[in-house]
Amino acid sequence: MINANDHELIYSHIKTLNVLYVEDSKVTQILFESIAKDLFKEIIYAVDGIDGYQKYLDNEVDLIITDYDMPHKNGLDMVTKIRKKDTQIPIILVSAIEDIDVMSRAINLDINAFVKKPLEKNELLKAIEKMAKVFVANKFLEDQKNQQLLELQAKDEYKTYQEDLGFAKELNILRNDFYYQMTDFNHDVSLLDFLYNPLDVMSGDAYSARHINNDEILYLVVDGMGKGLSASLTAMIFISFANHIIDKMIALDDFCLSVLINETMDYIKPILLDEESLSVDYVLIDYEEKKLYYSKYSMPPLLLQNKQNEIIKLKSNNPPLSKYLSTFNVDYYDVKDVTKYLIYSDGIVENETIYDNKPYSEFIQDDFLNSFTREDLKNKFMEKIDKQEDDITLIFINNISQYSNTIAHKEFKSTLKNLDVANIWYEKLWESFCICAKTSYQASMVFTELFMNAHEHGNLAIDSNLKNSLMADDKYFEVLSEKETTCDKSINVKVDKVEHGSVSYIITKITDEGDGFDTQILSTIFRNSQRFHGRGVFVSRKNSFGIYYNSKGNSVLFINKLEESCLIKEA
Amino acid sequence: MDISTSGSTVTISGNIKSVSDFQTIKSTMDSVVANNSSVNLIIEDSISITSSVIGYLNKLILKDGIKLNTSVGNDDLISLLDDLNLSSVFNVSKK
Repeated sequence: MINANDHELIYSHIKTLNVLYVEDSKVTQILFESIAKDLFKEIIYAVDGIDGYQKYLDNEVDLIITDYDMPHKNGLDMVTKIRKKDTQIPIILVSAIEDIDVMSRAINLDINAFVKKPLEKNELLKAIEKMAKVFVANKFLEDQKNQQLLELQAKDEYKTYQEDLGFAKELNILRNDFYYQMTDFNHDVSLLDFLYNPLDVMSGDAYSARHINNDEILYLVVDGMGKGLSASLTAMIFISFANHIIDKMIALDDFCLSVLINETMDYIKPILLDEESLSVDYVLIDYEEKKLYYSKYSMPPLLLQNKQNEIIKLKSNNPPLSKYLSTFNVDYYDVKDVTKYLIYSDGIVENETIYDNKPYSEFIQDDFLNSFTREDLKNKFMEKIDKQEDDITLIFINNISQYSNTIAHKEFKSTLKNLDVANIWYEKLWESFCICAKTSYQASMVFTELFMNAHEHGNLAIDSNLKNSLMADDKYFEVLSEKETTCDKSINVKVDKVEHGSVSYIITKITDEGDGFDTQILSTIFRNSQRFHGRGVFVSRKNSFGIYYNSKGNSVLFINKLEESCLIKEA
Repeated sequence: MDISTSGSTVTISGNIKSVSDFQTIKSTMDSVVANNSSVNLIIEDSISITSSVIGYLNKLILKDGIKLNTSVGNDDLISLLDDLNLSSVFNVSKK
């Protein structure tokens, strides 16, 4: 039953349609026009099947009404051709023929309605209404679908926005005092690398690396039980509170590992659910005493490599942290002979590998032993797995002082002219041991960028904003020359070659005499390379195996990896 | 690195690396933009690009209003420019 509103809706829709009316009888055409002239947007007339097909091709037709019996080509022959192009267009067949074969053919051609001849107004209108209802219903469904799509899109955008905010907050909670840094305590240079690869935006893993004082660094890794929001909440509030306590202790110059453990346990225990547990690593390295203090709560073993290339495993000395834990152990290990450290959550070792689905725990020791930096280890891990199955957090520390094999050392007076001199010197050096043009180019590219930074930002103290404004005004090199006249500083370059298995690493260290900079601003570059003007550092990272600044920010070290095939064979 | 010009087209072949390379690129481009508001820059095979060249091209486009079309041959450089969100600013296309 059609109500008044539906009727209005249907007829307003019919008014938007272009109809093709195919009829050879002039009398029937006139009759059709008298019934339908105000119904449609436009009526296109055709006199037979050939004319009808052509007009269908030439016009935008929404509905076809056709006679069956016409000269040259009948209505169904025309429909057969049209259906090859369009299976959806509604068609009404007007005919006096009641032949069962014709009707059967019409049905097979998906004729949507039939009207008997001679034309009767009510019957024709009923058929047109029937078509229009289908149109309106389809349009309604289409509109609904579009609306749902828009809503889903809006929901998705909102979710993505919230996730981005959540992740940005997460990165603020995790504290890394050594972002792109090396440590150089007591002339012991260690490269610190971090890998934080959450599976979801809200991670069940958290970590921090804190500069306690000039001798000590504290590493914290937390792995919340299970996955998802609950694990993430626990891990985040734990690390957030721990960092708050650490900040206070550092400010008071009164850090104590046992107090930190006590405070964090007291804080988290009432928050944990009855059956919840937390895996935690507290690792404190004292570079003065050469001791590593650890309190591990059901975490995978800490891996250490000594000078004899042996692996030492420091296993958990505590059960997982739960509501019911009341005591804890802190042990220590003498690290005088230790060269490399690996602290990690269980995500990496529990990952299935492509080798008979064995867990990565069976490979991690060997891979660690054969890796020089985190990048090496990450590549070895990625080669062995099909997909990452859990959050992954690891801290890779490599003490490179032991490798000291200096192949070149030179000091340059800080001038723009010397940048070219230094470049030529550096390129020549590379030519003496490397035959791979691409690797040599990438190394000299990084050298140019970082030597230039040492000169302009370090020794001449031109900050990025000033540089950009001088560049825009085309006065940069003019100002650089002026500043050079009063600058008596130098840039020191030291190049070391480290052989590690079948590959070699070239470690280039560039030190200026400037005031340095806070390397934390590098996180802005690397987290969003598009918003920061420090493109030189970005380009350098892309062209090297890693870059590391000292804590002052006036010395930078970069690594290039040389495969055996790149090396010039010594006679 | 070699650089050549033909009308409003500047072609760089070889790797861009040193300050001298930057200064050569700058002086060549300066002379081309003196007579052209639109420049086609072809970087045939350089693997990377120095930050000073990036800064200079940025200034040409954003301050001086020069329309730059950059045609790049090396995939590593295309990827680097994309990472730095410079593909659309420099109108980068694959050579």
